[in-house]
Amino acid sequence: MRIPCPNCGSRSLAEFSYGGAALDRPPGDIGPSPETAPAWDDFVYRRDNPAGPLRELWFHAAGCRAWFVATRDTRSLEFIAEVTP
Amino acid sequence: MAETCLVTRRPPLALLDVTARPDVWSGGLTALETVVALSPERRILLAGDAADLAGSLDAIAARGGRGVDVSHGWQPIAIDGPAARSLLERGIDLDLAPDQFAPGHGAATLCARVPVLLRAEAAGGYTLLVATSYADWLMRWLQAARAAMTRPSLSNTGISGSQR
Amino acid sequence: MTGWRAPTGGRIDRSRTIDFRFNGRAYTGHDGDTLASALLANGVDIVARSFKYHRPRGIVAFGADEPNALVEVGEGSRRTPNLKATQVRLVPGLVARSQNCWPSVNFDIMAITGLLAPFMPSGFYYKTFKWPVSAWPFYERLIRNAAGMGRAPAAADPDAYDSVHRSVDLLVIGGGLAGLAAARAAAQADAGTRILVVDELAEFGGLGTADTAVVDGRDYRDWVADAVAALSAVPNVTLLPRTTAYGHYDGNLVGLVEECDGPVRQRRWLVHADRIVLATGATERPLLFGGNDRPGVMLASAARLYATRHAAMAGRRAVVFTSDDSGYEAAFDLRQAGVAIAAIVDPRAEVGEALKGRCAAAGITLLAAHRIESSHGRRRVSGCTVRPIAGGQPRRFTCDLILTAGGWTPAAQLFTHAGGRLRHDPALAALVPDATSWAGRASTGMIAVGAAAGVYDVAGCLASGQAAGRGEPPLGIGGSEARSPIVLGGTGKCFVDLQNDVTVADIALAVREGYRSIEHVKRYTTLGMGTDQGKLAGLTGVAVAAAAQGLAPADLGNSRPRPPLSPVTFGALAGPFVGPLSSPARTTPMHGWHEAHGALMANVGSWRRPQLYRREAEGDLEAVIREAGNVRRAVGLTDVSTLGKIDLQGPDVARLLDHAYINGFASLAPGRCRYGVMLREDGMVLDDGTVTRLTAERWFMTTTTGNAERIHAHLERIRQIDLRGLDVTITPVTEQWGAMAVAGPRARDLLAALRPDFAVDNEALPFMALAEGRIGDIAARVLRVSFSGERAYEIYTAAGDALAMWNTILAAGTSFGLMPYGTEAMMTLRIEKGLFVPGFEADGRTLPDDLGLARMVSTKKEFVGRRSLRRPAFVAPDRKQLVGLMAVDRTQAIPRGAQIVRDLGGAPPVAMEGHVTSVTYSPELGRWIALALVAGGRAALGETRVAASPLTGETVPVTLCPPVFVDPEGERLRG
Repeated sequence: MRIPCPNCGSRSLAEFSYGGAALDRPPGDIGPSPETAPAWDDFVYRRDNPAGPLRELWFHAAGCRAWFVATRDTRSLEFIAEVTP
Repeated sequence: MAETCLVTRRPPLALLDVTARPDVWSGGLTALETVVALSPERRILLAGDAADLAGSLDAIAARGGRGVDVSHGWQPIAIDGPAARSLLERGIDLDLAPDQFAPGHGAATLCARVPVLLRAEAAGGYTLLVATSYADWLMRWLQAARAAMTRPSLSNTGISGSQR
Repeated sequence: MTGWRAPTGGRIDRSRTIDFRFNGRAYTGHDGDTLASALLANGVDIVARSFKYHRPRGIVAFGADEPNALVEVGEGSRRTPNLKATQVRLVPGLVARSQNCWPSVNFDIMAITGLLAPFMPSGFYYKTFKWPVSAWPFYERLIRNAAGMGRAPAAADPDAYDSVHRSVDLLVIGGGLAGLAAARAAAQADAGTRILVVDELAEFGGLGTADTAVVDGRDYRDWVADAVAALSAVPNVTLLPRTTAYGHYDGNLVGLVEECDGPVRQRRWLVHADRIVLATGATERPLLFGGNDRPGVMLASAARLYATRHAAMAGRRAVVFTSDDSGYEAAFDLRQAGVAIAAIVDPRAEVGEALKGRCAAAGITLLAAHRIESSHGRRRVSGCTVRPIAGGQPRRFTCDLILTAGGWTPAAQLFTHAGGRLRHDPALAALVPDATSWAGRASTGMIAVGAAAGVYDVAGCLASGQAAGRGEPPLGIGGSEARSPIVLGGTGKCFVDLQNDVTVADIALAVREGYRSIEHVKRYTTLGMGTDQGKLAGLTGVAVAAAAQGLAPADLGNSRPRPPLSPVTFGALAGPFVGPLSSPARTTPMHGWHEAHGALMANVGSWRRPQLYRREAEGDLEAVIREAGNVRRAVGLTDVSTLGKIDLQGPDVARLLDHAYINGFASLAPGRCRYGVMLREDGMVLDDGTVTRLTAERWFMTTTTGNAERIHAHLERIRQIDLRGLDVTITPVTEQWGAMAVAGPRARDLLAALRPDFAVDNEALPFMALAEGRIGDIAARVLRVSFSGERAYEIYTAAGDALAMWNTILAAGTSFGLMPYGTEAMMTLRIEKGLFVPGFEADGRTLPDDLGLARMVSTKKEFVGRRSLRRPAFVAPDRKQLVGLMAVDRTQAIPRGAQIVRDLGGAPPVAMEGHVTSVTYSPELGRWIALALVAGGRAALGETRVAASPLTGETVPVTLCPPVFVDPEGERLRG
């Protein structure tokens, strides 16, 4: 499998580490509250499982050491787009 | 007739791992030669004079960059000879065709699953910089791969591939 | 003994005779033969025994499609099982044997299972071997001995295997008419196109086009020679014969295995192709009848190929059972070569007038609207019974060869590997690649051409290949008259899958038992699961299963083929990664010294590390006790170069560290070190390490060995994503620095004796401080940090200087009683101090408070994982907490990984209150100690529990105690 790195171009999967779904980290606040807790638990534990495009984080560990967000179709397994965040 | 290649350890190089904003690079951060441009921000540079590494780092810092001495972090291996590219094909999953990886071109990648910096040299050979702790193992792997190499696509109808 | 060699013809070199042995008997063949063609020419009838029923079997097909003739080739360490005799090149001295038979293939005792056949239908093993339960180990041994095909060699493989990565613009899989046409057209369109053409045979030209066919006005063989010569002359074209494409993977990556002569046995190619043309041809389908597995039953096209290419005639008198015009061509060619054709039996009602005329002219009896009902013969076909389709009187023919031709199926497995769909073409009664599969996809899909696309005529193959080579859209398949459906049965056992002994009755049984989907039928009956992967059996099996449910085959679909399409050896997959090269090994600068001084080396991840240093007349445990004891009494030296190290620069480093660690770093003064713990976002402890502030904006972080790369990625993620805009530069420097720890009461004196150019007294270099300068002539960075609990200094030098520093310290250390110590003693010391290690105590399920780190957790800042710590389950008092254990009987060892239970009374299941995480013999205390995670442990100090290890049968009463066994006040550290 090849992954398109925005800096280095298409490279072998072995050069990368996977970082999971590209979700926004809920903004930090000092005191956790019942209102903010569900958003945090969703961020830590819950994931959508779409049959279609999925935004994922990849780290080019053996290359440019950049993190980027790639959109990949979970049905065809093809990469559609990639951006540095 | 098997083509040859040579695999030789070379003395360590003076190397700097330097980060700066793209506009700082293009504004003339340093005259040092680039071994590999990892990203728009980050390059591995060849510091010509090992004795004055500190001076080079200070000069870079003064112009808005940040550098780290990594001379001991990479071990140079020279791969030379007509079969140099063929040998690298055994361990590196990159398109090494001359028009895709021309002399002067560099890349950070894996060779035999080990982190390396690869540079195509002007004379047609390559320099492989391997992360220090892997160097002995990779040398043995390269020797084994070299021993296993023959000219590809031999057949009993005499068809031979010619490109490299 | 009915096969024979024709006196002329064939593309073998009759001047070169080759001696070979099969099942211990000597035979001869010619250069150009395969083992199969040579066996046929020598009249060998029975080549193998079937998998389940041990029925005698002969050769059925020509190449990779062969289901029966599995043989073992070679001897000793080069013995290779499960090779298809049809693919084994005949070379001088070849030794081959049948498999799955004893004492011989001609007389196999296990054929007795044939008598048990009524009790062994498909899936019988799901309903048997159940009672009594206690007998299962006995059944298992029985089954293991009876099942399986072939014997793997017991000795190590003496051969080398090569592995190559290659990127090309166009990969053509299959070097027959369509494939060569595609390659030529592509090369002519643009001479710079990088093209790779592969074919599994040694000669290009494929199997689908007869030598006598006329292509572009020339004989086919001349056309092939021209094409090959033209392609060979183009620098950017590579032709690879004897190369099989075994799988297509994501991103148009194709795996190939090339058979080699020479220093390597096989070479695996991993090819990235922009475009792929699939020209793999088509497989002929058999027709079914009773006893269709008898030796002497073959595919018509196979018999024709053996005759034309090898002059190996499979028999003397044949009945041809065909529902396809190509069967007639085979009959005519064989008759010309000297085989008598007793009859052509065609289940179709209408046969073309031209064919009828040719039969009449050749004197061949033609029976339209008839089918073969069953074959006869004891160990070889001796005749068959033919009956009209509509019913009626049977006719019996004498023959020693029955050739079947049921139409052609495109060999499209790689197309489905790539994610392409197949569609059922009623005219061909076959599944053909659907060219619209790639609509909406970002990348160019695979294009099937020629017979692989359902195009079976010469002009069509040529045109489709050329179009694909030029990159034009695929041509549609021309309509042809509808072919008759496959004939589905006969009297007696009708075999659908010859390799796995799956019959029509088995499939019908599966359907009756409720297995309706073809994927279920496949797995229940093992249809198509052999090494031939159902090449002959697949579509026929679908038709039988569909008919049993009253469906059309198109409605049932096909089971999905997956890589590999044909067997691939482990050697080819491993390539050069074998033995000591099987995975990368990392070594420190002191590695040579360790090995030269009696170190017992072990793998810690990829690193090679010394566990202990052996001395004469000393066991391993004694060595560890000696080394650890010496650290506490005098001074020890250990190699810690494997620690992860990260250089951090910029005004915002402290902010980054505050976000990554549970504790704060903004207040750390230059020249000082601070211990830190990192969590994951779910609150679990991830890693620990030491951060040193060199100057206001330059910092140096260490991590545990195993987490070096992970923590670097983690920090970059924070910098690039979570806290974008931070002015920080992160550079991994694990490889740049070597490191060693000098630890023990005499460590300071030893350090002073090295004459550093900086002060090392307790005020100049207190606990958790930094000193930089030169020791001798080597630049060094010294951190006063301790993993052992003793006064200690970690000395960092450039990797190239580390060994010199190590030797300098050893030389100066003799007068201080210095001994090197390895990772085992390091563990002993840290367990005595209750220090946790990721992977042991911090196993991904422990929170800071579980490990007694609650006081380190900042309440004033956000950090990774903070918001998970407030979860109710994470503040429960009965969570497993870190405690120390001592055996009540001080001479008893505590078992590793033991479960902690309250007592040994009570019936199972016994409540498990925790587990032992680390164990060591403590030289300081003179007894075995352990660290454990125990529910509510901190409130239960002083109580006893039992450490129970059912795996080893040990149960040891233990007392819970604080986890710090030695110097709990830390006086030795700070003095």
